[in-house]
Amino acid sequence: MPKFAVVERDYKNVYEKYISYGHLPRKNGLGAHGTHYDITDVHDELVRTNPSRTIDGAEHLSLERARDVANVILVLATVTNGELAWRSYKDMEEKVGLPLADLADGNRNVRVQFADLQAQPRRLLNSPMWSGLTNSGRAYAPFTYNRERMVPWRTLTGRQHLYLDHPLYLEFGEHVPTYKPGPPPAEFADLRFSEKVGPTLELNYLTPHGKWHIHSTYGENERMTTLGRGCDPLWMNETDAESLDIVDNDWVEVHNDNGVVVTRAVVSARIPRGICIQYHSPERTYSIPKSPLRGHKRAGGHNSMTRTRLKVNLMAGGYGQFTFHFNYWGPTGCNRDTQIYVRKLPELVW
Amino acid sequence: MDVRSQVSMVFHLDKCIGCHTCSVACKNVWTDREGTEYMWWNNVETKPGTGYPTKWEDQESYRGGWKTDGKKLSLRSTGKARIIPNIFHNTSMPSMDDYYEPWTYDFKELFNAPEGDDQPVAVPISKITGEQIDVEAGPNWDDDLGGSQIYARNDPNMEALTPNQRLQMMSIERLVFFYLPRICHHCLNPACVASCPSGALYKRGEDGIVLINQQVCRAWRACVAACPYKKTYYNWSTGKSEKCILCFPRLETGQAPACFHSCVGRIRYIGNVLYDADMLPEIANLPDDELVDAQRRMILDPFDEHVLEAARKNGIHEGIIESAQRSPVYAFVKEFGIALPPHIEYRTFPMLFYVPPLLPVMSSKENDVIDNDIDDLFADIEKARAPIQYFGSLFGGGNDGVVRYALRKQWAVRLVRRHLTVGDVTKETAERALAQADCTWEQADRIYRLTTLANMDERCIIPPFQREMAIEMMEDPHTHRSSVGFGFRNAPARGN
Ligand code: SF4
Ligand code: SF4
Repeated sequence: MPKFAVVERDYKNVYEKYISYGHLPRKNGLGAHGTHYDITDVHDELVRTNPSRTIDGAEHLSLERARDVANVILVLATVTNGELAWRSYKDMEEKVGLPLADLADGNRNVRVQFADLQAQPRRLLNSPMWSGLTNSGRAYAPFTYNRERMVPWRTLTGRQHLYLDHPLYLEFGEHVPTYKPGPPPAEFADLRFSEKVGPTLELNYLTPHGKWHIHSTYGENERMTTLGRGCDPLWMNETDAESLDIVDNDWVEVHNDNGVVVTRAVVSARIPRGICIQYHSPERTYSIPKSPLRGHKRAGGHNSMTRTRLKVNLMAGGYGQFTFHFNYWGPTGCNRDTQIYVRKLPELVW
Repeated sequence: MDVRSQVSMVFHLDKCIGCHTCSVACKNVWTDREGTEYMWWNNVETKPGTGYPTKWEDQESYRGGWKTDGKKLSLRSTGKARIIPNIFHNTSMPSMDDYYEPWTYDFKELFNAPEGDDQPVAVPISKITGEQIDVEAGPNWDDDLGGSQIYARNDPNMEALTPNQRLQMMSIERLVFFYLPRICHHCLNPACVASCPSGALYKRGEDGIVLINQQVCRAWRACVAACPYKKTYYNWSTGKSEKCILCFPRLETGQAPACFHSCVGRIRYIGNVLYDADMLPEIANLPDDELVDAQRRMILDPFDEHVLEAARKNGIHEGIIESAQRSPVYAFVKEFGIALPPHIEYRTFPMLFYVPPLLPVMSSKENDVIDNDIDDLFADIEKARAPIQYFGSLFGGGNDGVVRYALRKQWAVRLVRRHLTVGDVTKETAERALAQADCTWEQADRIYRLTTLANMDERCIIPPFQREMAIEMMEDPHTHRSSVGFGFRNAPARGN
């Protein structure tokens, strides 16, 4: 049974709370990835020197202006406040039983604030929250901290795991990282109501990361749309395309029970037969025509065709590294592939 | 012996990840202006592919570079005698169809669209006419084998292959591609310079950088047709041509060119070499497949006493000699012999060299058995997915031998490293590979170091430019951002 907690809301003050920094971190300290550090003195200093707000007589740090938020984050984070990094290493020393604080010795008086970043980029400081060592200008490489300072990996055994002996993993046959076949097309159950309209092909639809963008970041600017195809195209196999009379750069309409995409086809020998790829993830703001199959409404993006499927073994918990932490461990969407129908777009309507 | 110094480049193709950071760096610094939208002084091509402008290597139609009758060189395109008949229409000149129509999107629509029952969208609009366009081409259309039927299959280097090899190269199991980043080659025998009726192009005496004087250019565009690499571009707004300036304002202040500095894969090396300009006339007319070796002969040993004496006599400063001695380009091209000029048969003697990619072919699969056949040391190079003839066409002037040499040596270095780090290759095997690849332990170490570990200061040896008298020295190179490469103190404008 999951743990439930009662949360009481003070609706009158919701906005006021939203724009001020609460007192609990001062009391409990901060931390992540098993680290912990005390911030009492830094917090009190901030309240004195930075904009603050008074709620029921108590003074709180103000989060009203974006700039103040940035400064609160920068001053309370270990990678931009060397004193806090040092404390955090001290805390780790106790857990690990090895000297570590020397990693932050030279940084204790370093602080980066927003105005510093406005002037020029700065390097992040060494911090036990991350597994890379970056002292003396060294480039970040993961796990150098574990390997060189003998800090155990954050797993059940303290080592890297290739084998997972959790019963759920054993039962699902996912205990070793070996090839697992994809589910058979029908199991996706995303083509139960869709109909083939005109010459149509059923393909497996994949939405991996693109080569030069992280979602839409870095990709959707004039430089990169120019160095690409000017849209987020659908990559498909030459023979598959030929069977639908599609040539490179033709418009195609891709659909299933969940949604529709209208984009250009990139026809390539690089793609095996039976699959197609649309790199994620385009914004629905540029180069997206309307969809004839959906009553000439604006077509969607790559995620219009996939849906969330909770993967059961990712719900395993309370077992070493399988411990729930927001945005780190828990059921993910697994929404990266499905089955679709593709056809040549009969008419282009913007 | 007429010893000169030339700033030269090496690109190590096994290291290029095709990120195009270099292209964006160059564009942001130099060609972010009206009239230069379509100019990519640096671009990255997927090979096999047709590149940018489309099929630039097809000199049957573009007529770039030099041709020889065995005795004398002449320009293929725009000899001065041909200028007048071609003045209104030069059939070998690339047109907008060979480049692309630059575009952006009508983003205003996202904010200004009237209220409706559907989401507004920014449609593509031409940066030339401002009208809505259908995007049909771009500067990197065949990235990662996109449109392989149309582009990769029409790569001019495919002509060196048998029909069967061509077919195999495109089958999914053998499919292979690599990236070819390109900038101006600052050639020793530049066709662009020779072609200009106004004499606007020149090669700087002290470092060999090829530039276009914006005050003298009169929009003949002869250089655009004559450059076989299609690395000069015509600015439709100023009515002048422009090209890669090797970031000379950066070089003169001791900084690596923007594309070198930003290269994520650290594939780019720059340094000066000493060469004997007297040799050019005698080697310029040699058969295609002898040109790679001949060009190497022109590049002189910067430790040889005779060379140094001749260099000093020519007024080459000690600082420049010293940097030539540390040049990574000299190491890759001359000492190791693993960096090759692209399409030397165009006879411009490009001074940008490529280390050909080994590609990740490590094993062959026969009867479902993966076979890492270490006994047959170099078999994989011959059986590689990209036939050696393809590289011979691209980097050897049709001479497969120079490519094979470069690949075997790189392979031998890998076996040595494998012996040292993994241990599944015996010392005896590694030594046998070195002997067969004409390499020593010491050289293998140096190749390994320069390929994998060398930092910025080792990859980019920038000679002192001795331009104390030049006013440019006094200025912050950043003030030249977005200005025309040469003569930048006057803002570029039509009719200037
Ligand atoms: S050397 Fe400079 S001008 Fe030339 S391509 Fe690179 S960044 Fe552009
Ligand atoms: S920046 Fe370097 S690695 Fe990236 S594409 Fe250019 S040459 Fe290749």
